[in-house]
Amino acid sequence: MLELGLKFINFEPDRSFNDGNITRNYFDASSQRICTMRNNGALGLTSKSLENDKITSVRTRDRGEPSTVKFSVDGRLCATQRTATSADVIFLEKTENNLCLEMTVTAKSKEPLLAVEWVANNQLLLVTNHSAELLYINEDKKTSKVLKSTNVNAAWAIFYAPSQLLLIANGASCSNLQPIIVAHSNFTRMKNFEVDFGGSLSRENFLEKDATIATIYGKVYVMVLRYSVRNSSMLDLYEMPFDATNPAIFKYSLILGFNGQCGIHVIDNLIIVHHQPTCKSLIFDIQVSSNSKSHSPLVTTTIEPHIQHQPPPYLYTPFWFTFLPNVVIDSNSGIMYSLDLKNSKCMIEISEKNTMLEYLIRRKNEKKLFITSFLNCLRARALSLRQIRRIFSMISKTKESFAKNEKDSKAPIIVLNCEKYEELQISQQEMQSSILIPLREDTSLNEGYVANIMLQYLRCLYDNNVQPESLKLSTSAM
Amino acid sequence: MESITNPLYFFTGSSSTQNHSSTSSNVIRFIDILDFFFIAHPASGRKEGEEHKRIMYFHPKGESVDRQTEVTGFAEAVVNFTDNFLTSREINSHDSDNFDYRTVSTQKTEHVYIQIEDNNFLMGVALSKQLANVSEYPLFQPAIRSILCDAYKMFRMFFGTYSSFNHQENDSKFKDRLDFFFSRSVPLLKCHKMPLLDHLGGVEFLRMSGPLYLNVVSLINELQEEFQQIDKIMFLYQDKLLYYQLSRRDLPTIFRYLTQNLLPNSIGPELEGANNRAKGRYLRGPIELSTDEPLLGDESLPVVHLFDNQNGEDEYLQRYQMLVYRCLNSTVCMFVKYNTENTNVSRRLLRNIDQFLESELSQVANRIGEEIGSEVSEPTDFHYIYFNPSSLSMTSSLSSRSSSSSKVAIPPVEVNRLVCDTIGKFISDSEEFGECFVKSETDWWIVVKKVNSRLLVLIIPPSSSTSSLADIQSKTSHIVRHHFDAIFFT
Repeated sequence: MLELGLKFINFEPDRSFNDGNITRNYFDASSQRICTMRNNGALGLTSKSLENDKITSVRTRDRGEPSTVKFSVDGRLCATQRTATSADVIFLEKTENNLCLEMTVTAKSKEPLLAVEWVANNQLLLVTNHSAELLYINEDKKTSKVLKSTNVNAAWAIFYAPSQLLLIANGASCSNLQPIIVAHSNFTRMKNFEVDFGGSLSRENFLEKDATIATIYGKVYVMVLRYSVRNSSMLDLYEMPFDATNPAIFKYSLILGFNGQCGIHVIDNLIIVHHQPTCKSLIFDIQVSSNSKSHSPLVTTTIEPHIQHQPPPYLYTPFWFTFLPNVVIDSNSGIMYSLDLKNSKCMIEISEKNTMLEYLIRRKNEKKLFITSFLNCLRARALSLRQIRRIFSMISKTKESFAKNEKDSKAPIIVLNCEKYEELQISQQEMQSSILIPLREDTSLNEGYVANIMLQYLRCLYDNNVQPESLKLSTSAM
Repeated sequence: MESITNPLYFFTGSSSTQNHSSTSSNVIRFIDILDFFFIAHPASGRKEGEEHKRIMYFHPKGESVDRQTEVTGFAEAVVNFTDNFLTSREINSHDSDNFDYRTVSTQKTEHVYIQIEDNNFLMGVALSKQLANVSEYPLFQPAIRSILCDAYKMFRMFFGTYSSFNHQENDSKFKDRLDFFFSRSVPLLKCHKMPLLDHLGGVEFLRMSGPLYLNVVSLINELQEEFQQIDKIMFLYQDKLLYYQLSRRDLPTIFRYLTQNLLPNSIGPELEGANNRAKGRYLRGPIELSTDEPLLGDESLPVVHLFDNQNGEDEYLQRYQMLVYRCLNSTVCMFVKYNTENTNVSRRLLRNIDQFLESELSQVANRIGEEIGSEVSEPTDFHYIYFNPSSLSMTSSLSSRSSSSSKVAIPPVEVNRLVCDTIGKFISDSEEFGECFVKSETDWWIVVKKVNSRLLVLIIPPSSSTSSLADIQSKTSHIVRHHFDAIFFT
């Protein structure tokens, strides 16, 4: 159900030559670009992305090996950290003697930098152990100005660009998380919260690599890998509130069934956890039995390479690096792949028909596949009337009924923004032409059965406060 | 046959029903006007000197054997004698419960005899005219006949036909059963002071909106699809019917049993356990569902005999186990075919149905409650009886458990008698249309309208605005327009 490499791009893999030439690659999660530095930029800085064809290729001065490379939103600036306490801003479009112009910025306290992130085109965020600072970079004057700074203790920090959310870890075992929204040239602190990472004597601190932020079904979650000595690891999901007055709440716990390192992707609101030793990928859908805290994988599968890669690449190799949302980087062969869902395979992978259909309803752009599968299941009488009603109820909601639900929850001031989740909607006419009429015309089906299906549909419309359009054909069947 | 230790599911808590009746003056106790009641098997008393053997059951019990023999002998004689004058006798179709009957009116009593089960059995009742007068009950023979037939049907529902007892060989067991049933049920019988209600014998339906009804239908469809062993379903809200799949022959009987016996007796514990009201439960059968013990003794489910016609031919009696599940005022009655050899309803099935129904039923019940709670019907300034023979739907402001109240006092006995006489004499059973306006000596108006077999009786109290026939005609059309618009076309 997972396919590797529908999109892919080659890059020059890391190496160190005897002649002193070295190549290093960096992935910038915010801009989703891979950056190749040859001889620390002296022989070239190249950046590529799966999303667009724009390739940046420039040369910079060799001022030591960088630890991070970050691109601004418009791709015109690049921030890189070559020493512990300072960051260099490279003007990619301004050159002098074929070398890019640069400027150096530091935090006010000159403390070591924990994170360097672009917040907007000209706004750079610096996080140190004791503060977070937002700098304005003036391209023309090549100067920087502190827009805002805030004092906060930090052991490490991660930045989630889609929601402009800075997550800072502090406290005794770094398990106290302080979310801060960096927007409109301002810091907005949200309620801090404590996470359980399965800490013990052997694992004293909560580490940056065990925390991930993603947007799932229109909500932002902080995902925490919780280790256990005896049992298998869990992936705990903390749901972020939209306002600044409530703390994040522990919402779900995904049962991984293994211990140790894993790679995480979030594709089309599904959480996918890859386990390298067993070459397995677990797909979780938190909307399946969303009322229960514990979730087992919906599907356990193995990644398959896209047919265009010949010979097929090695899978789950130790050289793989995974980045959210769906990037796999094979550092050995120098290819960056996209990982994509192949939903047409869910008929085989998900045996329970109602779960399979509900899975399809929640996927992006799978209306056609859903309608065909639904009709097939109805024809095969593979669903009970109650399951049919559940499915009808999911698809017969209208925009108005969604809006109603949203209004209710819209009491406090919203500080956190994220991508909205749009549920699949199928109009009554579409239901008629693609489900109900084909069923009626299928002479092999019992009339009572078809009539009951139509009644269930009618009931769902009423239940969702949708006015039934005059269903001329269907009523004559009853 | 199940043993006699079967739970006494039809008479438990009789005291509560009695209390109920004392507050309501719409009904009287049948036993208060009863002279005698008997069941006879004429073929058993053919031999000279053994005539008393035809008596299967007789009330009052204290009556001497001679008198019992005399009464039953007279009834048999009436039947046989009048047979000679019946030239074209209606062939008693197997498919209906229209029993052959005879009525005899004496100075003191009113007798009704019915012949049942291929005329093998004779049931009779006599009501005392004097006692009826005391109780202010107008004697109306069709109503007495209906009460008698209903008593028989109730027995048949729980025990099967009389013939099935094979009484020739097992006389005492048959008599035991009759005694067991009728000595308990006859004292509980109620008659409406408006005898027409007993005569029509309909059931009260709950009026509700289409979308809401769809909820009920969809729930029942889902239930039956999931549990295919459920043969028939009936759905009630409070004491009104919403949905049924039973034969029309059984519907009034089982409806009466549920609304007059089973449900009133189950409300007690419901009021006490108010903390867990949304939880569904079974009204009969086991309380403990988590084990897999067989259902025996007190825990076994009631068995009822209902008509079935699944082969599309004549209806025949079939035994069913009855499951009554209740949640928040709504009652789902499920019937599962009963076979003695097969494994029947198990705790496991009960458990599964419980899980399947519980949350959905409480949701549907809540919605019904919201809808009917929002409709407050104003008390009317008249009394009415509406009956639709094709659906058996009946509503009346005079029924004992009427929700539709009227601010008018109960009509006096002579008005009730006049209503019965009007129906009996001026409105033909076979005609589909008819209209009649009658004014009583005390200035009450009685309006009878029959349209497409649907019957509407209005009883309008004396008033200055209803002195002329024209007045009453305009009032009638006003009432029909405002209260019976949906169900009655003018």
